[in-house]
Amino acid sequence: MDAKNRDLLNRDVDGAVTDTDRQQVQRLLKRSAEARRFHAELTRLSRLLSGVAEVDPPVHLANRIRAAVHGHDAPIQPRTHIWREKLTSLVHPPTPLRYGSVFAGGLVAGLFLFMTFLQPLDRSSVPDSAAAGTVVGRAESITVAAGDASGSVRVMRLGGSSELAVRMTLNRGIVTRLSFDPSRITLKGIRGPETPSGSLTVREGVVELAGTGIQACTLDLVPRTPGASVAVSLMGAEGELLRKSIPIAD
Amino acid sequence: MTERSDEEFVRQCRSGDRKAYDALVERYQRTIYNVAIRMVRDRDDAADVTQSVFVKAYEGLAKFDDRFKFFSWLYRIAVNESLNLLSQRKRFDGLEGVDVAETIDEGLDDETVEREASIQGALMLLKSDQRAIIVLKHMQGLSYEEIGQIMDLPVKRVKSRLFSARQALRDHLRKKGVG
Repeated sequence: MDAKNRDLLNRDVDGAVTDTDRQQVQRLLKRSAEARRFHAELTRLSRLLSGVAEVDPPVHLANRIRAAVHGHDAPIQPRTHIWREKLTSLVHPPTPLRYGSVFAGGLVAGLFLFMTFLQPLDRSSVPDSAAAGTVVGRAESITVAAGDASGSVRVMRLGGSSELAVRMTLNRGIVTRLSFDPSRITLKGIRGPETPSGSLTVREGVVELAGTGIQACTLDLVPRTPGASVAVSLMGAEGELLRKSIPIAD
Repeated sequence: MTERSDEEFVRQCRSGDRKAYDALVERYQRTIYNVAIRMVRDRDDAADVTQSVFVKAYEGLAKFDDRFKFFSWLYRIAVNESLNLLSQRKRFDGLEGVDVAETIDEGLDDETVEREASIQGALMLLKSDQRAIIVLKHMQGLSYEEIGQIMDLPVKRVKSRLFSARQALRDHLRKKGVG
């Protein structure tokens, strides 16, 4: 079968043929066993693929996206304004002050928090380059599996940001505890957990997240001193199972 | 009540109504997540990609060209973000995460679950751009023209790539005993 006929049959399976093409397909199928076999295979493949079930996104995903987007509140400029600015800049070159404000705006836009992300149990050493776009820092991850208890915590920080995005996968046997020295770090805000089954306990210098399945919360931790870090522990019934220190300030 | 169009939401976003963007997130997050998960397989990575797509789209809304459809633009970002992630992932071995096969609806019978896992496995054996074209055509039901716009390819090239991607996929599926 030549390339032209293959193309025709492919287009037929994709529903991209004219009436004339369709008649040609019918004639071709009538006279060629090879064409019939090829067409049948394509049709089967097409049905197979279009029958693949959609996957439900995580329940918290829309909220997570909204939080990331609105955390990014770079103002949206209508296109006409952009052109107006460009034209203006041709007549009046930007002053250092203007450059300064653009730079400051960039810094503000960089101060965001982002999201939490669940780390599968076997990926503890994965750098976070594969995570969402604006994450600059590495994800620090700790995982544990002890008996029937297992948990995984992934903490991401943005370059220059004081906020930590914490995402945890826990089962009943595990509680995630984040502890820090309140004289070195101020807990400015906290959001989450995002799932109703989760519970959050906040004490002086300690944040504990418990629950089943995926839990996520966002902490706004402001370092008061250089080199401040938060300790992330996975706590089982028998005590601390794993601990990792994660710096939040360079 | 008439459902508001994407264009209307985009206009509202540009005039400073951030809630309008939430509506677009609500409308497309499932679609984009499903493109991403078929591209990268790992559900966590797919969620990362989805988030990144919406953040980038929001950041670029001022530059969005009204002549294109908003959803085509989202698809384009989704494909690019997925390809970026895959190229980054190549640098690290053994990073298989939470497989999409584990996310398949529990209500499905074993045979269906196994078949879908084989399909996803075969998809992952394709080159990334071949996978993208299969996902857009067969799982998202887009036309050659829409795919061309998303992948920045002439329609003729879309067809030739799609046809060769299908051929490769058929071969992989046959080896897995599917199809």
